[in-house]
Amino acid sequence: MVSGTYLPGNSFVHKADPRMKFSLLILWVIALILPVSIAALAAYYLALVLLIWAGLSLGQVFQPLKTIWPLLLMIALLTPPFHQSGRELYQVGGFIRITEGGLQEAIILIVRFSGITSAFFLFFRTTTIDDFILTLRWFGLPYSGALVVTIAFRYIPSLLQLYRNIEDAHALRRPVPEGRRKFHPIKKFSHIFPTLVSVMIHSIKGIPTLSMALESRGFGRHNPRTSYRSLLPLKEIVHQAVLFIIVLLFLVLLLFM
Amino acid sequence: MKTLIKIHNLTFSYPRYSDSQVPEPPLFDNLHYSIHQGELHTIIGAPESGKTTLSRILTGLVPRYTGGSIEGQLTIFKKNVRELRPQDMIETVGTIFQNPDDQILTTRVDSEIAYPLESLGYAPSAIAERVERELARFGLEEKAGRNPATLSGGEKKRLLCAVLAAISPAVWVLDETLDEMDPQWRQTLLEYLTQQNSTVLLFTSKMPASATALQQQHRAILSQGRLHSQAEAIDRIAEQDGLRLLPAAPAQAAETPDKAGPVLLKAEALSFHYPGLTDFSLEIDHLTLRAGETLTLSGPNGCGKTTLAKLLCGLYTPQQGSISLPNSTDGSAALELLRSSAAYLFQNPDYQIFLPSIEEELAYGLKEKGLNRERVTTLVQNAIQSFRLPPAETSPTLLSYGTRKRLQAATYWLLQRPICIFDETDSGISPKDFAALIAAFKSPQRALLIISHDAELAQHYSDRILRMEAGRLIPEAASW
Repeated sequence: MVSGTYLPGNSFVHKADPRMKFSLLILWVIALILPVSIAALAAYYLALVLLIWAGLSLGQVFQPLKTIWPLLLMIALLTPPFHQSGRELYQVGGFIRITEGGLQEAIILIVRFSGITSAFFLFFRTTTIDDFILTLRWFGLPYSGALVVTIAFRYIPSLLQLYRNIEDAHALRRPVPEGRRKFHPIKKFSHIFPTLVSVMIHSIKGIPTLSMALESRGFGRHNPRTSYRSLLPLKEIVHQAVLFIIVLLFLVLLLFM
Repeated sequence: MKTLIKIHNLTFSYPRYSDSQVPEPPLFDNLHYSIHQGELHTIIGAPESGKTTLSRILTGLVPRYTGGSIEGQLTIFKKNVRELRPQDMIETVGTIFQNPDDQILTTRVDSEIAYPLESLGYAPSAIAERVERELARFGLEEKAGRNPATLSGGEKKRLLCAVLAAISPAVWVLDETLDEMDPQWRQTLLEYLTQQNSTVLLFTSKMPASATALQQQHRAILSQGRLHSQAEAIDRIAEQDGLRLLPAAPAQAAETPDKAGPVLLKAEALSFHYPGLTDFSLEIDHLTLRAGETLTLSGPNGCGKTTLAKLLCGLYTPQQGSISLPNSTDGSAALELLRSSAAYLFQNPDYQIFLPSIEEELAYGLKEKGLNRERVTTLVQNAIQSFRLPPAETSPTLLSYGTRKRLQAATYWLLQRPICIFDETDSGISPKDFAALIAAFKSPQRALLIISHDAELAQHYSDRILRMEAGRLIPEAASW
């Protein structure tokens, strides 16, 4: 059952104001992109690891890395041969040189990608979609834009669930191979197409139905729209704002390391 | 009494697909009907008779989004529906779609109820009051913060009822809404609508049972483009269109599990929960399915019936416990073996239909089994005849919902699986079609598991009825 990325919890990360979390997310991503030292990058990433551990669990620290490991592997394999600066550390077959500079570049890229993925992971794991939408609207996104984001978040997990349901439904129609099962990549790949066709048919059929659903809920009326849920007034989250400034100082300090 | 809805000379047809060999979709031909304020009208009709189309014409959604030609008059409170936009009518007429997933827009239960109130511009305090009231009325208080995607089919329908109750429109248009809801909530909904003096149009493909309140209300039957409201015509057409349960099959109903055949599936000490969901867990001590028996699984919405079915056919892996089949060597059947032993008819037939023609759809599993071309062709033709399907080359995407359900069943019928699970298969098809499906699958070598909220249907077809509550099985419940 796919219900989105949010994992219910009661940690201080869950309770933090979504505007603060969103601002920090943006700052963290910027910090991870900036050309800073490996030590600073490692500190940014380590801080994220500690937050994921404290807000979710130690096991969740590795969750975002599971989704991007092929990318990290490619960076680890392909970056060093293309960066030949610094002292030579190793040579493969007489022509592929691994240098200090190449290794350092690979580590920077790996920490950078792991950090950015973990930052988004932590934000969406501890923030409900509703709070995220309210945050976007607080920052000035018009309602129609927020609706597009809502619909996307409503339908992306649904499409994933639909894909799994259809995959299951198709799997139930296939016989079990006799004897020990062998992995056939081509056959496995060919089974993806019927599943994708079904998902596409469902999605296309859903477009007019979604429009009907929106209009049957009053979308597109001429009167001003109100909002049931709202974020806390800023004066009620002063303590969080103070914490925000401390974290900001930490980020800036690391920039000068 | 004041006439609220007036349908006069209403004629409608969908756009033509000239190269299609599929019979033309339902056409309304000079419909006449009047509904007074506070009345509850049940519109009965076989699948494909045009119930959903009529319900959407009443709410202004058709032909706005589908195209087609419409003539005649349709007025609600003397206003011409054809001249109004659906979003401007939501306080007058509200609708619940047949498939709740088509209508849910948000990622929180309480936000879903609030959505139309926000559209209407209600103050946040007024919205909060109504949201709280309707959550309580429809038993969803504890699920207020949940993502609606994680609710069961029946719970989703209750959520949509709560959405409409929050707006409290003068007219409720309900498309097969009572299907998938358990009897207690059906009763709650009907009592609420009566108290509110709401005008209700309930579209259904089943004749209301004689004991229910619906039998006492206004009824009409939609058949071959016409609406008939005389009692004699309703009874005759219901019989002719197969909208009543057929007489019970003799002997089967009285058979006890001990008299049935050998055990085909045994589940022991099953334990399962969804990651991230703390308010539901499934614990099954013991369950057997025997050859020749028909077991019905009943229970309130969200009690875990579908979850159990998916465990039994190997789509989910239990965290603890075992499911064994006669040919499983280690006592616990591997998932693949379970999957190849069970036919699971999903609530939505479209999950299992993906090829460009009926012939290819039916032949898919047979070809995967390695049967030769002649044998496949013979079996496919046999299935087309047995399940009253259109010509082999017809595209399944152009078929009606009921026909797609028959096609879905036919694909499994050809695979000859020993365990067949019908998950709310009775929803959206006529009792006659459902009876035909059960008859096709019933065999001394096969066990059938029916998941249904229909007590009459369960009593009718089952050798055993098991009730589930909060993820647990209550043994051998004879009553509902």
